[in-house]
Amino acid sequence: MRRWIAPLMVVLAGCGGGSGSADGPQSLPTATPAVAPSPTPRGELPRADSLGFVFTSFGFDYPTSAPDACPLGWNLSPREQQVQTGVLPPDDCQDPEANVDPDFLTLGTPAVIEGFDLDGIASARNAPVGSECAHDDFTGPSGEPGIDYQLWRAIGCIRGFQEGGIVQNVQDDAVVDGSMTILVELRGVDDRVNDDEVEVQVFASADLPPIGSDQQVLPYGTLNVHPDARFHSEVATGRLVDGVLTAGPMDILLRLNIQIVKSELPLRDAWVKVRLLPDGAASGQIHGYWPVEAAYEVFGRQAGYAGADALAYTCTGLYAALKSHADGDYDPASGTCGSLSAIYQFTAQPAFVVK
Amino acid sequence: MRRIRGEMVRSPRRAGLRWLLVPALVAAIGCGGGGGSTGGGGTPTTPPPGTPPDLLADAPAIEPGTAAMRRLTEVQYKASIADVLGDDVVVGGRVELDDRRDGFLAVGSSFVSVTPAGFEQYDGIARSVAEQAIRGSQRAALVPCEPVAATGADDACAREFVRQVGRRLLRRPLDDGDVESRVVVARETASELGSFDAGLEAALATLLLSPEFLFRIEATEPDPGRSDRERYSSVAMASRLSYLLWNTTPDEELLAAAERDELLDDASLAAHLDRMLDSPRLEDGVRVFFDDQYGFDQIAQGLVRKDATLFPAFSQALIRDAREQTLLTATDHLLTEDADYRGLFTTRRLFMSRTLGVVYQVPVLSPAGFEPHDLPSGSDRAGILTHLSLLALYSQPGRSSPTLRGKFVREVLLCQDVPPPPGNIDFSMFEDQSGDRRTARDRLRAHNDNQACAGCHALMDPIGFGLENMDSMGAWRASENGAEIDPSGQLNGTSYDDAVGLGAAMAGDPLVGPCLVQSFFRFALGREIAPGERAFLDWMNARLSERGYHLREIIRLIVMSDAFRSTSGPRAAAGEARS
Amino acid sequence: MTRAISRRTFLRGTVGGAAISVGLPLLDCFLTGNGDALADGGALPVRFGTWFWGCGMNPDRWIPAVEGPDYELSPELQALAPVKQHVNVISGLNTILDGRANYPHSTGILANITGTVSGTEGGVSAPSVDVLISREIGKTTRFRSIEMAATGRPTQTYSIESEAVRNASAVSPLELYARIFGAGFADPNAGSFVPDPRLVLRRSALSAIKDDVARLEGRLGSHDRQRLDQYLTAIRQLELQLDVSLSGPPDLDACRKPPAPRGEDLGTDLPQTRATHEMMTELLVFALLCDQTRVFNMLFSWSLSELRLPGAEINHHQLTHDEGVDQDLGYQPRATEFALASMDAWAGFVARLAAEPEGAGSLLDGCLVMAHSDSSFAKSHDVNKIPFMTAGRAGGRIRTGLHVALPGEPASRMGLTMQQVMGLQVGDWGTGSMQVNRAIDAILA
Repeated sequence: MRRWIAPLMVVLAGCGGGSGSADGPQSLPTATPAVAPSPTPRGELPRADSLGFVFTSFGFDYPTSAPDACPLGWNLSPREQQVQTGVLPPDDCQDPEANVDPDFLTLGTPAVIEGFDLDGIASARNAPVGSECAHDDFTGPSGEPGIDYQLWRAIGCIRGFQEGGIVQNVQDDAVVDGSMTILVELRGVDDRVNDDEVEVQVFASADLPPIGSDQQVLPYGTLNVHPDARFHSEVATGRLVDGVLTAGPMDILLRLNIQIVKSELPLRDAWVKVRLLPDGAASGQIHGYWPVEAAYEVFGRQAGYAGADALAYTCTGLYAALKSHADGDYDPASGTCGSLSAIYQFTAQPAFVVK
Repeated sequence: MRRIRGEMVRSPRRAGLRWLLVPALVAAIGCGGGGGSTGGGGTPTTPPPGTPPDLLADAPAIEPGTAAMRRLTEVQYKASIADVLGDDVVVGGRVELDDRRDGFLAVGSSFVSVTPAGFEQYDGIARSVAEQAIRGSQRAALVPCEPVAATGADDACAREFVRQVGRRLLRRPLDDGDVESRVVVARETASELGSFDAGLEAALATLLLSPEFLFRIEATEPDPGRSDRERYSSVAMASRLSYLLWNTTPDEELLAAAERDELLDDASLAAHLDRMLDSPRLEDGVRVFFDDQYGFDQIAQGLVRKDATLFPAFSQALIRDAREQTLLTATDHLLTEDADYRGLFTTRRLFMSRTLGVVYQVPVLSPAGFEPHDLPSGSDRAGILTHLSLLALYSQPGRSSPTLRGKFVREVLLCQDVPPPPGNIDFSMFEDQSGDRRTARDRLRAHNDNQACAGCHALMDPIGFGLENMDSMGAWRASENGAEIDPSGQLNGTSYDDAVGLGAAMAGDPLVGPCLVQSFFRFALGREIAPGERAFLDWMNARLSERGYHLREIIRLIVMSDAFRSTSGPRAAAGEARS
Repeated sequence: MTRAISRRTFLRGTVGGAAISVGLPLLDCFLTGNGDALADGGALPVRFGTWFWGCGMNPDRWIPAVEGPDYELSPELQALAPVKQHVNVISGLNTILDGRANYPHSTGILANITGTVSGTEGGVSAPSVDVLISREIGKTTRFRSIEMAATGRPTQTYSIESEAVRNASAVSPLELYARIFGAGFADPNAGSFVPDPRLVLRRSALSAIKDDVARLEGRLGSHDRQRLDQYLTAIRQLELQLDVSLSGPPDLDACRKPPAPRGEDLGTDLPQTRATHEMMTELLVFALLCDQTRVFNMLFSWSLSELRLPGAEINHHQLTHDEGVDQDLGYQPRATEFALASMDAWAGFVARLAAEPEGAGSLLDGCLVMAHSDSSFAKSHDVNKIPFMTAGRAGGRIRTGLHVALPGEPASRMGLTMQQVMGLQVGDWGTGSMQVNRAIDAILA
C-alpha cells in the first residue's frame, strides 16, 4: 500500500529555520579554485517589455458555498466505510469501473465563484443546450450566470480537497519545492495598467524558485522554461485593463512530479486572468478543461488507495463522478463528455523567464 | 569644487566573446596587453610584453626593510599540500587562524607563531594528509623506490623518499641532518607496526610539521656588492615568487631553476617572473590580494550574518557568491583586460550568478556559475563600492553602517588613517532623541555636528551616506523608514550626487592609485614599508600615474626591486617583550 | 578502574620486547608521578576559568549597597539569587590608566587581564592571567586550556600568549566535542585500556621536529627566535598530551563521556548565543570532570557586544551608545536588557557547575571562575568600577557568598588574587599604577 500520508505529513510539518543564519556550521574555506571555463549558456533572456512570474501558490479555486452545500455530508474513505459497514472496500483504483461506489457524494447545490463562462452557455442540468452534457453551471459573485467549474461538482464533497486541506498543502509545497514550478510570461507590456495587446504564455519549469530564509519565494529570480517544449503553452493574446489581463483560449500542459505522482496536467481551451499588483507581484486564475482520464490518472491510478484513504473518497466513486460531471470535449458518438471545466487560482512573484 | 556626473564617458568596449574565461584565452590576452586604461588621468599606454631589462634603470636606490619568517596562510597551506602531494588529498579540520596586521593577513603572517591548540590541529591534519598521500593514487609518484620488504623498515628507500618529498615540502634541498632524523622515525615506525608504508607516513607527517614547512623561512646570504645588507638566496626567491604570484609552493621548474642559482640573475629572474605572470595561476595570487585587502576572510569563515526576519534574501550562499563576484570582477578588470586599477570604481561590468541576480534584480542566463553582466549606462550601481560583498561585509547584521563603510574606504582604499574614537566621550550630547531619525544620516547627525566626533566622522560618514541606497545586505532601497535617502556628499573636495558619482570621485582621486601601490607593497613583502623604500614608492607612483595603474606592471616593479630581493637583516624582537 | 600498568608490562606486552628509542624517561616519570597520585585518590584538581561578557553594567544598579556576607542582591544581580552562596561580587575596581589613552573596549580589558596598560590600541605586552595560570597547572592535562566563545567568532578571545599570539576560541560545540571527546579521548567506561603504541611512536617522532627547531634557532633573528620558542612550547604541549593519553583514562569516578551536541546554530542573536553557551557549558562540565583541562575561558559576548534581539536592527553595543537614558527609569532600558541577559546566562553557568556532583560536593566546589567585563558603564567606556565576580570555592581555598567593595583599587588585584589562589608563586604583578602586591584577603579562606 503506497503511503501518501507519511510524506504529506513531512511536507506539512514545514521547516524550522532559526532566527539568525540558519545555515548551520559552515564549510571550511577551501583553496581558491582556478576559474573554470564556462560553457556557452543557452537560452534567451526576457525582453525589456516582458513581465515574468513564478507561481508561489497554485491550487483549486474555492467557491463560496451555502452551508448545506453537501447536504448528505462528506464522502468516506475506505477505512471509514469499513467502520460503518464492517467491510473494507477493495482496491479498485486501477480498474475503477469494476465496482462503482453507489454512495459517492457530489456537489449538487448552487454555488458562487468568480470565473469564466468558458463555453458561452449558461448551462442548467434540466435544460441542456444542443451538444452539451447536462450540468448546472455556477454563478459569479455579481450574479453572472454560466460560470463553468464542473470539477468542483465532482470533488466538492471530498474533505481532502477543501480549502486548507491536504491537497491544498501539497499543491502549495509542490509549487515552491521544484515538484511543480510554473512560470507565466506577459510580453509586449507597454503599460502595466492598460494595454490593448499583451501576449501570455504559461510554462512548466524544471528549476526551483529561489527561496528565502523565511521559506517564501524571493522575487526577481531567473528560471528556465522546461526543456521539453510540450510544457510550453500556446501563446494567447489578451487585453490588460486596470491592471488585470484576460487572455485565451490556449492549451496548457503542466508537469507534476509530486511525491508519488509523476504525471501531467493538461488544461484545454484555457483562459488566464492575471492581476498585476503594485508591489510587482501578481495573482489570478487559470480556467480550462481538465480531461477526465488525466485527472483520474493523478488521483486514482497514481495516488491510489492510499490517496483515497488520506483524502477520503473511493476511487470508483471518484471516477464515476468525474465522468458524469464532465462538460467539455463532447463526443457525439457516445453523447458523453471527456473533460471537466476547472478553475485554478494562483499567486506569483516577479521572475525572469529564460526561454 | 568639481561636480562629477553619475555617468562617465568610457572607451568603447571591444565586442566579442571575451567573457569566455578559458585559461588559454586569459593567457593570450594577458600576454599581449590590454585595451588601455579606463578612468584616471594620463595617456593610456599598452604595457609592453615581458619584463624589460631596463625596468628599474632610473629608479632610486632602496634601503630594504627587515626580514621575518611568514607562516603559511590557510589557503597557502592547502595549496602547497595539494601541489606536492596531489589534489585528491583532503585537508580537513581547521588550521590556526591567520592574524591581521597593518591591514593584511599577509603582514600578520610575519608575526604569528603557533599556539598549543594550533599545533594540535596541524598535527592531526599532518597525520591525515600523510596517510592519504601514501595510501592514495599519488603513491607511485611520491615514493621513488621499492622497499626490501613491505612489512619492515628500509632505510635506503625511506631516505630517498624523504629527500624527494622533503625538498618540495621544505622548498629547498635537504641536508643530512634534515633527512636522518626522519629516516629514524620511518625505521622505528615501520619496525614497530610491521609496515614500510606506515614508516613513510610517520616521516611525511614530521615534514608537514617542520617549521620550515609551516613557515616560509627564506634564507639570505651576504650581498656581494653591499656590506650593509643581505640578499635572498636563489632558492628563497623561488618561494617568494611563487607564494606572491600563485599563492602556492614553487613548482618543480621554478625550484630546479632556483637550485641552479638562476633567480639571482636579473634576466633569468625576469624570465621566470614573466612565465608566472602569463600563467592563469596568476589569478590565484591576485585573488588573494583582494581577499586580504577587503577582509573577505570573514565571508569565507561564515562570519557575515544578517537578521533572517529583516533580510530573508540573505544567505551564506549569497554572500559567498558576492565575494566571488568581486574577485572575478577585479581579476577580469586587472588581468584579463589589463585595465587601470582606478576603473574598478566605475566599471559597469561585473560577474553575476543566479543567486546574486535575485538581489540585483537582473536576469542571469547561466543556470550555474557566473557570467559577465554589463549594467546599462545610467544604472544605479557602478564600480566595486556598489558590490554586495563590500556593502554587506561593512554593515551590521540588523542595518547598514555608513561609518563602517566609510572607514573601509578611507583606511583600505585611500590609505588614510582614521584615529580611534576618544576614550572619555561625553555621551550626553546624544540624549536628544527628538527630531527626525529615520535615516542613518539623521541618526549620525550628532556625530557629524559635534566637534569632538566630527573630526573623524566627517572622514567616514559622508562616504557611507553615498552608499546608503544599498541596505545592510546591499539590496537597493530608495528610502529608509519612509524617509527618502540622500546619497549626496563630497570626497576630498569632489562632490557627488549618488553612489555612481562616489565611484567616479574615487576613480579620480589622486590617493587611490598610490594606496593600491603601498597596499600591494605591504602585501607582497609581508611587512610595513621601510623608510628607505619610500623614495622608490614615490618613483613608482610617478611612473604609474603617467602610464596607468596596471597590476602586472606594479608586480614587476616590486618583484625586480631590491625591496623584494634583499633585506637589511632579520627583524629584531619588539622592545617591550615580557614573557 | 585502575591504571596498574607498569612501564615494563607495557613495553613487553605491546612492543614485543624489542628495544625502541622512545623518550622513555619522560614517560616513566609521568606514570609514576601525577598519574599515580590521582590513582591513589589524591586531592581533586582545582580548576581556573574566566567568564567574560561585554559592555558592562549600570554601576548604581549593579553594585550592591552593603558589603559582606549579608548583602542584598542589587537590581541587576537579581538573576544570581539561586546561586548567591557560590558567588562573590567584587566592586569598585578601576583600570588605572596613568594618563594613557583609553581605547574603547580595548585598553581597559587588556590591562585588567595582563596587568599592564598598553600604549597602543589593542596592544598587549604581557600574557593574560589565564595563560599564566595554565602554564603552571596545565602541564599534566591533555589540553593546557580550552577557550570557548558563544558568539560564533573564533578571533574573539582574551586568552593572550603574547602580542601576536592569542588562543583562538572554539565556536562550534560540534567541533569542540570532536576535539575533546573524539578519537583522542580515553573513555573510562569503554572497557579495559590498552596503551596505543602508535602514540609512543608519535611522541618519539616529535623529536625530529624539535631537532629542526634547534637547528634553525641559530639562523634566525631575535623576532623569529621568539616565535620559534612559542612553536617549541606548542610541540611540548603535544608531547604532554600524548603522555596523558598514554597513561590511560582518568581514574575519576565522575568522569563520563557526554552525548554529542545536536543542532547548533551559531550567531549573535541572543537566543543563538544563549543556546550555544549552554551547549558549550555542557561540554565544559564533562571536560572538567574527566580532567581534560584545568583552565578554561568562556566568552559570552564580545567587548563590543553584538548581542541582538532577532528582528532588531540594532545590537547591544550600539544601544549602549545610541539609546538615551530614560528619565523616569534612570537607565537605558533596551541596552540594560542585554546586561540582565548576560547576568542571567552567568547565573545559569554557575548553576550548571553547581548542580554537577563531584567527590563529596559539586564540580563548582573544585573551581575558581572569574567573571568580568570590559567596562562598567559602556556608554561612556568607563573603566572604573569594573564588575568582577567569582564563582566556586577553589577546593576550599576561598570563601564565597560575599560582596567585597574595593573602591578606587587597581583591577589587577583580581588577577593577582586569582594567580595566588591557584598556587602561583607571585608576590606582585602588573606595571605602573596597576602594579599590585596584595591579594583580596576578604575572599581568601
